[in-house]
Amino acid sequence: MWKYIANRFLWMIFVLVGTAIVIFTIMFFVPGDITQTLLGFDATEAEREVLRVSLGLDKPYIVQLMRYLYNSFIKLDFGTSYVYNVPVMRELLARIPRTLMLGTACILVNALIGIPLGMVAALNQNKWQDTLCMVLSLLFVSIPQFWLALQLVDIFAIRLNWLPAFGIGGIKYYILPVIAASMAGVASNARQTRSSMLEVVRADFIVTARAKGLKENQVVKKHMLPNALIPVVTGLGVGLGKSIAGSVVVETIFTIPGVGMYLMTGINSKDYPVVQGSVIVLAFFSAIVMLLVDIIYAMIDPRIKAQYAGRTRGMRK
Amino acid sequence: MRIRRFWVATLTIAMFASALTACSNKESTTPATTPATTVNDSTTAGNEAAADQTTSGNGLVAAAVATSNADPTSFFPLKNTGGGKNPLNEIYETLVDQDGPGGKIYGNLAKTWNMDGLDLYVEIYDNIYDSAGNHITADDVIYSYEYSWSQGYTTSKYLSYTDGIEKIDDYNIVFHWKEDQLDTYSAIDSVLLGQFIFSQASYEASADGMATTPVGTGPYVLKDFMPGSSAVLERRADYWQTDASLVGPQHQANVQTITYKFISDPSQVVNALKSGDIDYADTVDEASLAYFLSSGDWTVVRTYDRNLFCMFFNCLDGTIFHDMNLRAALCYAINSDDIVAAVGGQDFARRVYEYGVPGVTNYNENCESWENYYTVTDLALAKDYLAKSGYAGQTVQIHYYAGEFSTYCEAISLCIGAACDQLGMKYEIHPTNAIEDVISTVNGNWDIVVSNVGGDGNAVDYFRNNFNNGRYEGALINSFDEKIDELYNKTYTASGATPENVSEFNQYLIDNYYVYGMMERITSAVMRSDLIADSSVTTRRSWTLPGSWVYYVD
Repeated sequence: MWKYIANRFLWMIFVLVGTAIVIFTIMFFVPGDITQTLLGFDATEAEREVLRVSLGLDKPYIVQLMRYLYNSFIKLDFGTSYVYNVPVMRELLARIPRTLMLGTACILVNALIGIPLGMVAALNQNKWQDTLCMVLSLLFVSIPQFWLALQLVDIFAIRLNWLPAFGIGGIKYYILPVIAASMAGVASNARQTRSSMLEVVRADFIVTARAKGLKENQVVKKHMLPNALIPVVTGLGVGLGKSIAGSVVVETIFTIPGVGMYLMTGINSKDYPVVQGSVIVLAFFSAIVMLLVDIIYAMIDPRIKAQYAGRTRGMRK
Repeated sequence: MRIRRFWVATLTIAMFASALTACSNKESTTPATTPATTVNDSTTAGNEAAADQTTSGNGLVAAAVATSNADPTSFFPLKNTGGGKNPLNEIYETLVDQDGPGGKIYGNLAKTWNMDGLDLYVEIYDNIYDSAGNHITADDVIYSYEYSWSQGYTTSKYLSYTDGIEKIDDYNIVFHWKEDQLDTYSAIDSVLLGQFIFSQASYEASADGMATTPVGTGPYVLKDFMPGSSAVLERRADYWQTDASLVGPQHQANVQTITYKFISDPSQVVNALKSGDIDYADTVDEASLAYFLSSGDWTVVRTYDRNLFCMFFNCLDGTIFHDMNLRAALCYAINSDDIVAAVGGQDFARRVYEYGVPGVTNYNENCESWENYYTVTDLALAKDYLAKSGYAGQTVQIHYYAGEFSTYCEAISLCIGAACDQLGMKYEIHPTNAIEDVISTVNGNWDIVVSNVGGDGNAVDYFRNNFNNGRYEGALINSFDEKIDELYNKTYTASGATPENVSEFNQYLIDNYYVYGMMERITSAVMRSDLIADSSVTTRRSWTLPGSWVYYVD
């Protein structure tokens, strides 16, 4: 198992280098000029050329790429933002905790609400509980995130004055953003859980477990849930990756200075170091999340753990 | 087994490479200290404002004010233009300043300045200290200009117009002007207004070029900065200019604390006003204004923001609008009143009557009664021109600038499209973020461009961006009409910036249907009625300056 994990870490390096090359190439060839953004419309071409040289943007593609790969992976230096004028790594280290907090909280809400909702629906298939749960999940997945966010602000921040409308600070600043960001995930989780549970609920081993006289609670927790959770765990993992990378809508509305907003600012202002650094960091976190998902698989299902161990044993031969 | 050896070898090489790199002389990548922590909401003023009073030069006091603002992203002094940069104007200062767009220029760090032949002599005050206690001398002034230019930041353009800057003594410097730039329009002002002055010692002591730890000579210091969230400025008790009569209107410190909140979503700005998180917002959308207009707790201030929205034709050989009859046809089919209605009505825009906006220096009010396509909309006349033209059913490519004012440009483009429909002309509308790529002569696949042009209070400013051959390698119209070049070079000079020359230029543009100035934007700022008495003082670029506002006291 540890060898499997180490193997995955090594492959991650290739994934990250490949991602870095792709994103650098895209940013290099996308039309637009950062010097225009920095110097404004009054600047002449000669003035922009001076800035271009000072930023090293006059060098050929391959020279810039090699310098970028060396700085990013050997020196761990993503450069200095053209717009923020601070090292990208420093800014990312300040923003990642906020985005991670938002993403992690969203996944917890997804799991704590979505999974039970799906279970109730599956165990009461075709009854009113099932209908109610599915209507709720349909509602949650249909509501646009930004609309929900603004409605929550209007009700809880403006009318009731219970929670802050925007900004960062203590836990209370994250309540409305987490609710707004997690509802769609709750819906898809609920539907996935229901679907997985329905596949398992009529399995022979469940009949056997009931026949042995186990209480329904124990049948659900020890036999149904572990088997039904594999696709749900995948969904949660993908959801965490999406929450970290795609939180820009919620971060913009609630003015949370996270990685999503940082990346959007970088894209809009052609701030190459910010875009390149942010994408690599997001790719890194996505790869870690996928690895964690695989480890959780192994914890849930011994058959998968044996598969991992068997795979590495085969490698030794 | 072979695969195992491969991975062992790879890991070993990676370890050696890391060890070698660690031994090399590399720049530190250790992040600096963690940026500022959470903004304290207690800095926002509630209805119980002015509990702690601070006196200012005009006797009016207030404790704190919070305002929405675009994110300045950085307090780096070499970059002082662009959205959100107004807080920098409370922290840093220039040699001279200007009392609003087109306003009077007055000395700030400069005590005197005078031109003698090709030399511009400047004397600075001898008692200037920045917020770190560094004494500002001529060496710092020269360093500010030269370092900025060496890094490629040319906001002051001083080396465009001069052959350099020289120290005379600790408080006197001289700019050696280039002879051919002596008559360049607003060159002297640009040089003296465009560069923030900072201490070399402070700049070199900063780990990030003062991006998050600015040290300036202005009346405020940065207390707290969270990029993407907020910035808090505190009034300096040791501001160097102790003679109140010499403190300019843009350098007042009428409030103890200013909190800027960087709220990107317009509806959240409205929520922030309603919840009391901010006391002022410089732009509130039309849908929300009704609430504030009907409430006695808020004052709505409407301002003509000098942003001219206009339409340019591509008149190069081989393009459809090379034909003047076709340009005339479309111009007479467009109604500027419809455009004003399309962007929200007379509370949000006003029509203009030439390539320029009313109320600025060198504006000719008579243009509002000239008889041309600005004052006459005549579909029958438009169709006559269309019939005379060689239009053969081509599709008109309309590009609009999809940047900060995209909603306005889009609405205007749709009105132009409607005019095309009335004439039976086909069209396509394309948003673009890079207008210079569209209008460059290298990429000629455009027929109409809709964009906005800003000015600093003089009608001549509007010619600067789009008729300057040096800017667009042929610019919009110069490339096919040498007369435009001649008129531009005659008007855009210090001696040529006169109402007569501006009128001549505009008349030529009108006679040839080259450009259609469509509207000027009106912005609506909302502020608390019980806190802010007057928010009209702005920078020369119309940026807000909360430190210079006038506040009510309890």
